[in-house]
Amino acid sequence: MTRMQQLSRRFRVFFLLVLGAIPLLSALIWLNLDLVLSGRLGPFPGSLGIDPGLVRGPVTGEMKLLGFLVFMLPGSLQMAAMWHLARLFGEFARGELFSATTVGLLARTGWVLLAAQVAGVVSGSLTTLVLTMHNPAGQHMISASLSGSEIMGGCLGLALVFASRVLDEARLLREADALTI
Amino acid sequence: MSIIVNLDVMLARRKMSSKDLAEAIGITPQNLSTLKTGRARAVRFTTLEAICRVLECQPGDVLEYEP
Repeated sequence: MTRMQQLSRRFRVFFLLVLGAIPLLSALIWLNLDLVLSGRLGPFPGSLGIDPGLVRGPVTGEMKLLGFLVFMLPGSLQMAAMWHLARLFGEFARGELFSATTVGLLARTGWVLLAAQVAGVVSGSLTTLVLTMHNPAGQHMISASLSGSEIMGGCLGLALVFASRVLDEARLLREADALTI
Repeated sequence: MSIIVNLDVMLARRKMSSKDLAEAIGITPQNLSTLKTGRARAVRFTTLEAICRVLECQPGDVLEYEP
C-alpha cells in the first residue's frame, strides 16, 4: 500500500468521525441550551449563531427541539459532504484516482458544500426566530446575515466543483493513455 | 472505427501465436488483445515498428482504412 493510500484511509476515517460528530455536537449544544446561554462558555455561542442576548423568555424543550432541527438544516448537508468525502477517500485508498466515481463524488461534495452555505444563512435567520419565540410580544425577531465563513465555504464549494472538472479531464487523458498501445 | 487491425491475418500467415508476438514486441497479451479487437484508440510508432520487425511486414499489412 502506498503512502497516499494510507493517508487516504486516515482521511476517510476522519471524515466519518466528523460525519458522526455533527449531529451529536448539535444535539449536545441544544440539549444544554441553558448552559450555552448562561455566558459561561465565553464567545463560543456567538460563533454558532446563538446570541444569548436575544433570549428574554423561558427556554423550553420545544425551543431546544426546534433549534436542533433548524441547526441540522445546514448540518445535514455538511453530513452529506462528509459522506461524499469519506467515499472519495475510500476510492483513493483503493488506488482509484481518476475514475468517473471520484469525479462524481468530488463534484457532489462541492455542490453540497455550496448548498450548506445557503442553508446556513436560512438556518441563521430561523435560529433567531426560535431563540426569540417565547420573548414578550413585540420582541420576536428574525435576522439575516452573511458571514465571512459562509462566503469562504461557498467559494470552497465552487472550487471543488471546478476541481472535479479538472479531475474529469485527467480521467479522460488516463483512459486515452490506457488505450494507447 | 474505420481503421481495421489485421493482426490476426498476419499472425496466421506467420504461424505465430498472440502470446509469442506480445512477448517479442514487449507488450502485455491484454494490450495486444485490445489492439487486435480494435478497442485501442492509438498505436505508438514504437509498437508498430516492433510489430513490423517481428512479423516482417509493412504498417499497411497490419492496418487498413475502410471508408
